Amino acid sequence: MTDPIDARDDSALPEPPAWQRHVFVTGPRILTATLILAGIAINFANVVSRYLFSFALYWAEEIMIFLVLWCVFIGAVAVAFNGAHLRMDLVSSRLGPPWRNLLNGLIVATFVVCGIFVVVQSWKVLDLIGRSGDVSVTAGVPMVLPHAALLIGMALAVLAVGFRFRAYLHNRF
Amino acid sequence: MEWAMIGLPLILLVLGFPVFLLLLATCIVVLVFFSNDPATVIHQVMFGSVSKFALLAVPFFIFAGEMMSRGGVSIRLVNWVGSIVGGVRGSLPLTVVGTATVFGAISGSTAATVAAVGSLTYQPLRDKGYTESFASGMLTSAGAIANIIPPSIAMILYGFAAEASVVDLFAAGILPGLLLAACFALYIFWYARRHGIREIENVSWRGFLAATRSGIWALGAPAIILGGIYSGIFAPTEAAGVACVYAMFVTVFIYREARWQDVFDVAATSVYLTAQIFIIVAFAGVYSWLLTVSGAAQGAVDLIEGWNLQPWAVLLVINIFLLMVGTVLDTPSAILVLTPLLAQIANAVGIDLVHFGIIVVMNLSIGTFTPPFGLNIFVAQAVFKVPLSSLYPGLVPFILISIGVLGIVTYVPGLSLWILKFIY
Repeated sequence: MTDPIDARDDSALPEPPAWQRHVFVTGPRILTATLILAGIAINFANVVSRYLFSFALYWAEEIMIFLVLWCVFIGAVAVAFNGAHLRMDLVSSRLGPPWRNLLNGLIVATFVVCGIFVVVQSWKVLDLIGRSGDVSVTAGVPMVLPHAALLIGMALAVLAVGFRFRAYLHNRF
Repeated sequence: MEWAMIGLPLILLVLGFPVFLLLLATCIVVLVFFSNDPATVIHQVMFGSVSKFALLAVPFFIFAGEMMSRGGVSIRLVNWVGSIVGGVRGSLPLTVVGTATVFGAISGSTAATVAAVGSLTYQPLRDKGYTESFASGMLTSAGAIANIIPPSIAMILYGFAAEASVVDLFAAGILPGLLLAACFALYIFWYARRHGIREIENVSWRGFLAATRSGIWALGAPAIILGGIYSGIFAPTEAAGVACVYAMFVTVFIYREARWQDVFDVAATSVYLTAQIFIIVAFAGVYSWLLTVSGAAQGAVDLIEGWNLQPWAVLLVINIFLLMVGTVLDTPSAILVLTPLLAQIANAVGIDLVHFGIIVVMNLSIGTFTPPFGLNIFVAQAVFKVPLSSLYPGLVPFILISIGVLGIVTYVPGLSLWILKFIY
């Protein structure tokens, strides 16, 4: 099984360009860390206000869910760029180079095709929600915002895999 | 369609596809070729799967555990447990087991527990005369206790997948977790006697009070988390949020061993780990939905019911299956992929879903330190720099003990469920 933390090994392939790291790793890292810290602050503020001031932040639950949604799908972009998705490589790691590369190529192709499929479906749903003007029940947030996390996250993940095609092919990140 | 839903993910899993991708590919194949449902259902169910309030506890508990392990909490817990058991033969490994139990009540992650406790105690264990094999095997195994002692990320994920109460699962894990720790401790005591290891520390009330004073803030974390949940003050997600703030407060302001930059780093790492798990949650939700609406899950249940197996036999088969799965697949993936099906089978033969959750988590926890691919084995290898040829033999007694405890937990449901009487 792939170690989720130490999945990167850039020893054999050239480093990806700095701008790619900024867009697919550093940017998501800064954004998601900020969002999760905001989520922690809202969670704590909700508990404190309820027990100390008998006043619940009725919008807190929804906002926390939306923040974590963005964290997950933007965080998944960095995971895709680093090739760090959880998997079982019991068989694939024992294959010789041509078969292993073929299998890795199949994984990349499946990732791209399935990712584009999801992006298309997400676009349809977003279009529908955007036209209906739905807002969330308690916080009044336009529902297009949390739903957009899936579309943007999956689209960026597909791009990240495309840019890291060689790394995926050789399983060296 | 049933074979596509069950056979295709298995084939892709063996081929080494990322777990989220094998679920996604299966769902797309089923939706495109075998179903009349609109494909937009993928987006809607993904959104609904991740938008669960109970799941918010996962990133928060990961954050609290990471923060505590970086900010000087582990060493204080080791010192505190050592001040209690130091007078007993085998005191240092006993301290490890005790610390893993307390640390598990903070972090909920087996890998974090092995890394945090192991990095502090491996070399002292070697210095006291314990073999490389025993020391590394014991440390690798002790981390698994964190999965069973609440709070447990594995139980939150199981609760999501099986629609079981996370609060009940947390409570039901307490006695099995303590039983596992006690059995490990008994073996360690026997091992130290048999090998004539006379490693005993001087303990005194003064030392205990000093260690308690130093570690009181660290010990406050499990008290706040579990006390908050079971006194009815917090939901698990709120308890996790409070634990995050508490962890930041203790490590940055009290112990002063973490800086704000560390807080930011921990936040980024927590989200990264969460994204790895939740992307599977998103597609496992779609897969689970398709299993239900397609009738594939009911088909599997009918098949098992047709065999007329007794519940004990179903549990035996599931235990053997999960023990094998746990050796090759990580705990979150295994829970999210298998629970939707296994929980329905368990439910159909009358097994309580909370009790079943403890069985599932315990099986997969044993898998985390079972060769060849248990996650904690790789963590231990990285932390202790021990060859696998030395590590594997050290794991064997702890695997056998754990399987023995698993047998007790499986066939004595009261051990898990008895404590629930005191909650309601």
